[in-house]
Amino acid sequence: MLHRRISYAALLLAAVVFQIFFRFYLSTFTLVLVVLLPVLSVLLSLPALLGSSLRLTPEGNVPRGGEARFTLTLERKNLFPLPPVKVRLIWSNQLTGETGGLVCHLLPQDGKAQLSIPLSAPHCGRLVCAVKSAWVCDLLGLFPLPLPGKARAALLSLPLPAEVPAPDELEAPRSGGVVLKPRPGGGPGEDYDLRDYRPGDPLRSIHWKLSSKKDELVVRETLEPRQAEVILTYDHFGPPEELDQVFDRLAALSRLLLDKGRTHHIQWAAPASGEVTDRAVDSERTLLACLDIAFSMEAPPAGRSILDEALKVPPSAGPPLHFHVTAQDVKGGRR
Amino acid sequence: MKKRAPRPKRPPFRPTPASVVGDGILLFLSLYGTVLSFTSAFSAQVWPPLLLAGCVVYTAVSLLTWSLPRRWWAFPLAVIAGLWGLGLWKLRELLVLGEISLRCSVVNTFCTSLGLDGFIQPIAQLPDSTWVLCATVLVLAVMLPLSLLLGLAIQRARSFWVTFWVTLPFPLAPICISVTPAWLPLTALILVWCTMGLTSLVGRQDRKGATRLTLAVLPAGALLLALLTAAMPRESYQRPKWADTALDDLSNWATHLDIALFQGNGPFGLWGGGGSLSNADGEVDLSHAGPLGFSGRTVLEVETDLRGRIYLRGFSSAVYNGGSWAPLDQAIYDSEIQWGGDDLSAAVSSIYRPSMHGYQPMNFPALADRAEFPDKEYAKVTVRNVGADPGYVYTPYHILSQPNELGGAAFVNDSYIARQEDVWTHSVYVQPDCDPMAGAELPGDAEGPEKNYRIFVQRNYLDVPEESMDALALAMQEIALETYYGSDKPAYQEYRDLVENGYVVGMDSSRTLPLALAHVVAAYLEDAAEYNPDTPVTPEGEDFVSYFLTESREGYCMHFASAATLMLRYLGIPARYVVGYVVDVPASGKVKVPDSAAHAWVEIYLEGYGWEPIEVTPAYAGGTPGQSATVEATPTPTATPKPSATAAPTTSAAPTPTPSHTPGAGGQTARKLDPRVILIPLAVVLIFLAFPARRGLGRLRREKRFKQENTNRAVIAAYLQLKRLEKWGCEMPEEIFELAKKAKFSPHTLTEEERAQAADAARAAAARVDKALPWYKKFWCRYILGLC
Repeated sequence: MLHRRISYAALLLAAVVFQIFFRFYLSTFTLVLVVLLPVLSVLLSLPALLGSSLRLTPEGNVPRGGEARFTLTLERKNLFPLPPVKVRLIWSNQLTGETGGLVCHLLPQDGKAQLSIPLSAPHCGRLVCAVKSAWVCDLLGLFPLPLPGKARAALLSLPLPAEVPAPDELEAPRSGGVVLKPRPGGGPGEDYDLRDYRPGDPLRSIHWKLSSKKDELVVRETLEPRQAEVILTYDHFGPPEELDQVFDRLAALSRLLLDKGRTHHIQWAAPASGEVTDRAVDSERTLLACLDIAFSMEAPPAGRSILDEALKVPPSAGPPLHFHVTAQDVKGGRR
Repeated sequence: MKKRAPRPKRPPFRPTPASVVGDGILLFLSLYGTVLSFTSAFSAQVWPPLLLAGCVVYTAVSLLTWSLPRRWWAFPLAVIAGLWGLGLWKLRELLVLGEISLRCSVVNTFCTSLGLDGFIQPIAQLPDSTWVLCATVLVLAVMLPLSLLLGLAIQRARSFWVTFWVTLPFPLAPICISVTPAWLPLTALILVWCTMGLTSLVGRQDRKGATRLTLAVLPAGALLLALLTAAMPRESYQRPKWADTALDDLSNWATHLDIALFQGNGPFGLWGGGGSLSNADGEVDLSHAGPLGFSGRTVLEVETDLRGRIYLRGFSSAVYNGGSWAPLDQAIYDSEIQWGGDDLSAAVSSIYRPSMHGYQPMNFPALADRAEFPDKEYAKVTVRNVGADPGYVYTPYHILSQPNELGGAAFVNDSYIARQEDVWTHSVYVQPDCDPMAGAELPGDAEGPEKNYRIFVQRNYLDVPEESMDALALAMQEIALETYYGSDKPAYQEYRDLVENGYVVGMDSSRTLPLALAHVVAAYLEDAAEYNPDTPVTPEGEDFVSYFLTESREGYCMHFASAATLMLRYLGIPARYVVGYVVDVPASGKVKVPDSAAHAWVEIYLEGYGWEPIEVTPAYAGGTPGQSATVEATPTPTATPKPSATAAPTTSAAPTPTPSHTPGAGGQTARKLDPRVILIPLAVVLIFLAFPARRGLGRLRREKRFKQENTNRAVIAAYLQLKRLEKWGCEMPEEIFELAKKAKFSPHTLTEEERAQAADAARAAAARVDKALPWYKKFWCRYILGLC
C-alpha cells in the first residue's frame, strides 16, 4: 500500500499547492475534500470489516518431517466487499519451543477467501498456528484497520514408525510377562497361596490340615495367571533430534503393545518439577491423546528424569513391567 | 531470489444488472461533468438539455458496446465510427460554425480572465440560435468518442487513473486561468473521481464486490459533497490566511532563488556582475507601461520607530529619452565630480573635478536638519528585501548613515544605495520630520561639497529633450493662465503670494520658490490628467510625456512623475525621477510591504539643503514624502494602505508575472521575459534525460566489462554484478561462484563458453531483479544505481 500512500500524499500536496495558488472557493473545497476522503474511506470500510471473520483449521496430523497445513478462511457476514487482508501468523512447536511467523495476504473474491498455509514439521511436537494480527486497509489503501477475532488451530507432528523388538519380559510367561493374582471367588486351581484367615472368607477355602498344624486358621487362596501392568516411561527433555528418536520408539512400542492387546501406561516426569504424568493407553485414540498431552509440554534440553521419581503404579496390580525408552534403546523389565 | 507477490489477476468481465447500473451512473456523471464543466467555464453558447440528452444516449451506447464480449466489439465500433464519420461529413458546415462559436467563447474567456485585449467575435452575422445549435452539435460530436473512451476506462478497465487523466483536462483548462466551472458538473466529476478512487482497490480482485461498493459509494460521496457544499457556502468564502502567507513566502523564495541562480554570481548568472555589490541599472522602461497588475505578494519587510506614511526610496533616474528614464552616464560622474579626496588632489589631474570630501548628497537634508536640531531623536529603520528588486536598498528619506557608516550596502553615485551580495537586511538611521522650510542649514564643512554638487546638479538635472518641448510649453501656458486668471487652488495661491511678497520684500526664495512651483506643477497635473491604473501602453513612437500631457491625459504615478520632472526642469528647477515604495507603518512598527505599494515620484534640488521629494500623483495627493513620518507612537489607523487605485489590483485572476523585477519602472510595468527562464525547463529536461542516460551508461559499461579481452576478468565482472544484485534479492548461482573463484585464483584462462555463461547469468539475474522489484525500487535500481 506504499504506493497508495505516496499517491495520496502527492494528491494532498497538490491540493495544498492548489489552495495556495488558486484564490477561489474551489481550492479550499478541494483541499477539505481531499482531507475528508480518507475519513469517508474508513467509514465505508467498516461494514465489511465488522462483518468479516477469520477461521483457521488444521488439515490433520502429519508424520514428522512432513508438511503441516493449516487453512485460513475469511468468512463474510454481509455483502460489502473487503480489500486485501494482510494476516500475520505465528506458529510454534510446543514441544521443542520452535517458533516462527509469516505474513500472508488474502484476496477476497466475492467477500470470501481461503488460503492454505504450509508449515514444515521437522520434529515431533504440537504445532500451534495462530493469527497474531489481521489487517485490512481502508478503501483508499491508506490506513490498516484490524480485523476482529483471533483464530487458532493446532495439529500434531507425529513420530515416524520405528522397528522396536518386543522385550523378552513380555514374552516370558512366568518371569515377567505374566503374574499370578488371586482369583476372585476362589475355586479349584493348580496355583494357590496360603494366608491367614480373614473374616468373610468362605469356609471351604480354609486349609484345615494346615490350620490344625499351625493352630490357627489358614486359608488357601487360588491364584490365576494374569498379565502384569506395563509402564512405558521416557525423559521429557533433550535436544529435539533425540526426542524425535525417543518418541519414535515410544510410539512404536506402544503400538506393539496395543497390537498384542496389552493396555499400558505411559509416564513421564515434568522436566522442571518432576511431577509424573500418567496416561493409560488402550487404543490408538488414547495414544494420540497421550501424545497430544506430551507434545503440549515443552521439553527443555535438560531436566529431571522420571527414573529419579516414583512411578505411578496402578492399584490392585502386582509389580508392573517398566520399560524406559531412550533415543538408543528400550531399557528395563520387571521392577 | 525473493519474488514479489504476484499481482492478482483481474477476474473476467461479466456484466450484471447491478454493474451496468453502477457503471452507467459513473459514465453518465463523468460525461456530464466533463462536457458541462468545459462549456460552462468558457460560457459556451450551447443548449444544455440537448447535451444532457446526448450524455444519456452516449452512455447507453457505450455501455452496450463495452458490455459485449471482446470478440464482438469490432462490429458495433465499426458501425459507430461509420455513423460518426458520416455525421461529421453531413454536418461539416454546422461543425465549422460550432468551432467558431466555441473558439470565440474560449478566447474571450481567456481574454476576460487574463485581462488581454484579444476579444473576438464571429464575422458571420447569424442568429444566436444558429450559433447555439452549431456549438451544441460540435460538442455532441466530440462527446461520442469521449464517451467510448470513458466507457472503456470505467466499465472494462475500471481504471481510476485513465478516467482521471481523460477527464481532468476539461475542468483544468479554465481553472488554469482562474475560471471555476459550473458547480454541479464539477461536483459530478469530482464524485466520479472519488468513487473510482474508493473502489479501485476492491475492483482489482473482486468485480462483484466493486459493483456493490460503487452503488454504496456513489450516494455516500454525493452526500459528502452536498454536506461540504452546504457547510462551506461559496457566498461567504474567505480564503485562508495561511494560504496567502504561503503564497507570499513562496513568491519571495522564488524571487530569491531566481536572484541566487540568475543574478550576480549565481550558477546561471551569465549576465551578472562580478562585483561585491548587486547590479542595478537604474533604468525605467516607460514604453511598456501598461495597465497595472500586482500579485499582492510581500516585497519588503520594514521595522521602524517611525509611524505613518513613509516613502522608501529605491533609486533615481536623471536622463529622459522619450521612452525611458536612465541614470547619468558614469563618464559624467567620473569627469565632473569625485566623491572622495579633496579639490586640490583633483586639481592636479588633467581635469578639474570638484570633490565631495566624502559627503553624500543623499545625506544633506538630514545633516542640515541635524545641525539645526541636534536634540531631535533619530529613528532606526530596518528594511528586509524579500522580493523587491535586489539591486537596491530601499531606505526612507533623510538618512543619517553616511557612506562610511553603511553596512552591507554602498552609495552608488548620487542615485541609490546598492545592496551587498547576500545581505538582504539593512538598518539605517534617519532624521525624522525634516522640513526644508524650517531654516535648516548644512554644517560648515559640508557647505563646500554641497556647492560643488549644486554645480553638478545644475549641469545634469535640467535637461529636457527636444521632443517634449512643445508639450511642456503648452503645459506652461496653461499653468500661467491658471496662475493669473483663475485657479484658486492653494498651490496657485501660494505661488502668487510668494511671487508678490518675494518681489516686494526681496526675501530669499531659493527654497520656497522651487517648492511652490513643484506644488503648482502637481496641482496642474491633477487638473489636467486623470489617474487611471489601467492606462494602456503609450503608442509606439510617441513621446511618453508629450502623449500623456496632450493626448491621453490619463496615467498613473509613472506618467505623473515623468511629466512633473520634465515640467520642473523646464521651469529651471533641477529634478529627477524616483522609484520606490510607499508604506503606511502601523502602530506596531512592523509592516510587510506588498508589491502593490510600488510608486514613483519626483525629487527637486533645493540650494543648501539637497534633494527634496515631491508627490505629484493625484491618488497620493497630500503626501509629503519628506515629512510624513514621526517617531512618536501616534495612533495611526493606517495599518493597511489607503484605498488607492495603484494599490488595488482589480482582480487576482491576472497576477503580474514577477513584479518584483519591475521597480525599474516604478514597480508598475510588466517585466520582459528573461531569456534565462528557458534554462529552467532545459534543466528539467536534462534531469529527466539523465535517468535513461544513467541506465544506458551503466549497461554499456557492464557489457564492456563482460566482453573485455581477458575472460577471467570478464567472469569476475559478472560475479561482481551478481554480488551487487544480491542485495536486491538475487541469489548467486553456485557455478558462477565457482567460475569466479577459478578466474581469480586459478592460473588457467577461462574459456569463451565460461565467459558467456557468467555474462548470461548476470544479465538474466538483472532481468529477474528488474521484473520482481516494486516500481520505486525498480526506479532506484535502474536509474540511480544503473544495475538493471
